[in-house]
Amino acid sequence: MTTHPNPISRRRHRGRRGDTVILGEILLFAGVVAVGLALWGLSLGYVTSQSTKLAEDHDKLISQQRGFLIIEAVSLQSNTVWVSNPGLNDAAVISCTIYPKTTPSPGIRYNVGGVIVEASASRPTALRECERFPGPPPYIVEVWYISAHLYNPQDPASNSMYALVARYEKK
Amino acid sequence: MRRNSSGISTMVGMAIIIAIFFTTLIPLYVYMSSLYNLLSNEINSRRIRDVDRETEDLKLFVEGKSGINQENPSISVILKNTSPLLIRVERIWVMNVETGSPVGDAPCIDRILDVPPGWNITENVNTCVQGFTGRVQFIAVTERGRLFGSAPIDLLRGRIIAGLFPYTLTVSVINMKRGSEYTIDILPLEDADIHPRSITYKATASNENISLSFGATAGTFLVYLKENGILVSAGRLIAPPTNPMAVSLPDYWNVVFILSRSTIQPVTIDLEISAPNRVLEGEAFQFQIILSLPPQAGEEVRINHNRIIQAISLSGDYEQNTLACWPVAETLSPGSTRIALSCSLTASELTGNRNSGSITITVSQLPDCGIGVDSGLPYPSDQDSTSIQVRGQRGR
Repeated sequence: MTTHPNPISRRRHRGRRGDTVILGEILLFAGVVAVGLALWGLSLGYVTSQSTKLAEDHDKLISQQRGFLIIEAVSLQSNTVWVSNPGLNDAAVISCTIYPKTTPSPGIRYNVGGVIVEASASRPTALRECERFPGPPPYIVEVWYISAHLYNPQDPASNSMYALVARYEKK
Repeated sequence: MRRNSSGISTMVGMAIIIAIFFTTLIPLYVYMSSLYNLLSNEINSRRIRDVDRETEDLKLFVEGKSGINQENPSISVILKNTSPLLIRVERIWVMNVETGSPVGDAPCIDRILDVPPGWNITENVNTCVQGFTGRVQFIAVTERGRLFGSAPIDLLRGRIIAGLFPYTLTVSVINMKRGSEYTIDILPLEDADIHPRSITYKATASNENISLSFGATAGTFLVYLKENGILVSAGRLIAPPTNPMAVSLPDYWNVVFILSRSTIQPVTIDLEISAPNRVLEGEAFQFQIILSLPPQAGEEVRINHNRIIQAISLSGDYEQNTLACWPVAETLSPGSTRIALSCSLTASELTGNRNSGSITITVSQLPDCGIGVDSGLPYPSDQDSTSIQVRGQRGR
């Protein structure tokens, strides 16, 4: 007597095997999508932060190109320096010194509290807080400035690496 | 079914990678490129602005009228644009050259002046320097940030000195007294003007003369001469007949004050011979003739060397024709003592059994030992004589 396997039970067995494969495929699909989205998010975050930093750096470089301050007149009696800004950005003055030509530059002294000089040559601005160093003439008048939007009153030294200088010899 | 499912995951994975690439790296690259282009454009713009700034060329000339009306002086700055660009002058400063400060601590002209290429613009600046005396320089500030300056000019009460005084008044003082201070004061009458109005001079020699020039406008002036602060009386003047002297320009250009000449009395020069006390026979030695001029002398005296040499007489044990003299000092000032001549002489050999001898040097009294530098008068000198002992070589 010949026995034959039950076709219904064979079909059931084959169907369960297929379910596992499908489940595996779904899990694989979900994993790929999840990892992919995570990677995508990380990449977007990284690119966004890098773009912001790049934009800030370029902004400072462009500000340097657009900044231009000139010293028009100096009074050695009152240590007043008149400056004007024919550049394209408003400037914030952070340091103003008058020192003998025979001595080295005192550098940035942060002695002027961010006096804003508007980007217009039509009106000079008087700086009355200039620091005078003793010594014989001739003198060098040195004014350090940065673009007004880069000036931080809480930390004047920040962004000072992007500061520009205007010099004037006073005999 | 299995093969198809595996393909979908790979496809989705690839799609996400491609999406990441297109949504991050390419936009980042494009963004960086645009930032770089922006920076490049700014650098180019800055370069163009710098080139324009350097191309600007503005010359400033100051012009003034020489009118004598005090109420209406006229000083103008001429701006001459010699560049190919339109120059916009934002303001003009007047700088006091002596103090290095702006006159009035503010710009002279604070409004826009457009100077087209090749054009001149004349701008009146009277109000900025009204009443100012000193040396000033005009500085123009352009819109592009350049400073252009004029040559410094001298102002007197708000007017340019050069051209302000077209005439010159010369005042001379003759026969001044040594050590006295002479002051010339000039008072302009009505609308006349002169610069300077007072000068003081100290005479350093007797009967010294000076001539001083003053810039003046046409008009009448009173010229005063003071000696040590006191007006010189007419009695002391040979000319002019009055002090002060009135003079009108341009009819008369000179005023000459001739003071009565102070007489100079020559004094006797003290003459001394400086020689060694003793010398050996056959030895060459030196001696000096020293002159002293008393402090009462009113002038310097030029020494007459030849007359002194001629006045030297020698006697005793000396070799003939061995006297040689050469001059040292040329002049004597009052109160000074100087070596006039330095001479050399040789003692002769002692003859016979003599062990010692002597030489006598005499300079006789001279009526003209020196000549007064200013007066030309002869100065006499007194006589002097000295003896020198000559010792034999054997006696040593």
